Amino acid sequence: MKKLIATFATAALLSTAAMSAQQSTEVQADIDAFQNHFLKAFPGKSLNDFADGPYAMSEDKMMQFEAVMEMPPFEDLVNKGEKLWKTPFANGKTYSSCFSGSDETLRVQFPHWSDKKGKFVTLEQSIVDCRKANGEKKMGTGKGKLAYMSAYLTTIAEGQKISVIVPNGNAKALAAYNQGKKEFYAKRGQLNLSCANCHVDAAGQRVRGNTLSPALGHITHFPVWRGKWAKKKGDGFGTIQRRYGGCNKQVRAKPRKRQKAQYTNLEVFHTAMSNGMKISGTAYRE
Amino acid sequence: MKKLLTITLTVFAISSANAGVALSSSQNWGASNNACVVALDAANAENKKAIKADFEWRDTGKLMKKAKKAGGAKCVALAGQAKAQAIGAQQQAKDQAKTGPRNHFM
Repeated sequence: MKKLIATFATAALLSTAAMSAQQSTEVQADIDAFQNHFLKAFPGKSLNDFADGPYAMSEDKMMQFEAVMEMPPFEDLVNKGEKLWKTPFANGKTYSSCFSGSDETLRVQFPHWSDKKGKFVTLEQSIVDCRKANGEKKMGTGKGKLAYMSAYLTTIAEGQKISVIVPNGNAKALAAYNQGKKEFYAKRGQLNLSCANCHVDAAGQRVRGNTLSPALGHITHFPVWRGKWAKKKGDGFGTIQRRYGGCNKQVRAKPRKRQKAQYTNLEVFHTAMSNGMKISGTAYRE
Repeated sequence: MKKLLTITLTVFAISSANAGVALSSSQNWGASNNACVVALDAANAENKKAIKADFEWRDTGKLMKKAKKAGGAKCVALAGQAKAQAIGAQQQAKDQAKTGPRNHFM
């Protein structure tokens, strides 16, 4: 009898786990529509070609990109990120102790739904939470040391597939995802532009000297090292949420606070749209 | 005597005129300062609605700060611009309430 109960309990646990890991059908339909749009708009491109962003749209641009990536200007900072990641806290524990799975899988484990917190959590926020749990000082989430560590984790995750799950039947998770989706499609700011206006409708077109990148694949290479950021404010590294703030400012909207619901849910939607794509490692952008 | 009287009257007339000018200018300053406060309050009230709708624009707050610093007629003009921005942001929030991927995909 005991054995029977144990078998039933295990089966129930397994089926619950399987259910929680299943993608919401609504989200899967969004992903299919989103990816098909780009594959139709840019015939001849495969899903992973979109990881190169604007450089995939022009041969000249691609040559410039490849030339920069031969000797990446950010290599030292990624090494610094590795050192920071592996340096133990004052209590002797390391960042890895806060996470499950190997360091190589961390980038693609996030963002994920946390039943305990009742919200989606990002890798950057989890690193900050890890510091807090181990009695360390707070850290900014846009650039600097956190961006270096995050870049290191992106670098070692190269080749792994993005797989954001919005658990099927979880209304709270779906509502958060839908908030992120609205953030992506809603026009904001004095210029009355949405993320989608530039990165879906006008992807591949030019704004002054720059080519607008497709939203598909954005997430495969963040944090990025941007020449513009390096020129303006030091080292050039920035997380995806730093970039969201920059985009908002460019359309003359007041940027949101990083790691709060709006940008985190936007990151969930944005990342989910690239599900199935491979992490391409930290990259250079203009 | 006549001369003295004329001089006294002239001095009196000039000093009264000056006092009048000073008074009217201080009245003007008070009025424009008051107009600035009213305009700023109006802009601030509208911007609070835009913030509540989660659609605040980038420069509205900056315009209000500039207006406060400038004072006078310039303040009223800048506060007016800020108010117009805040109203625009509220309208945008209404327009974008039901936005989604339709019209974006091929």
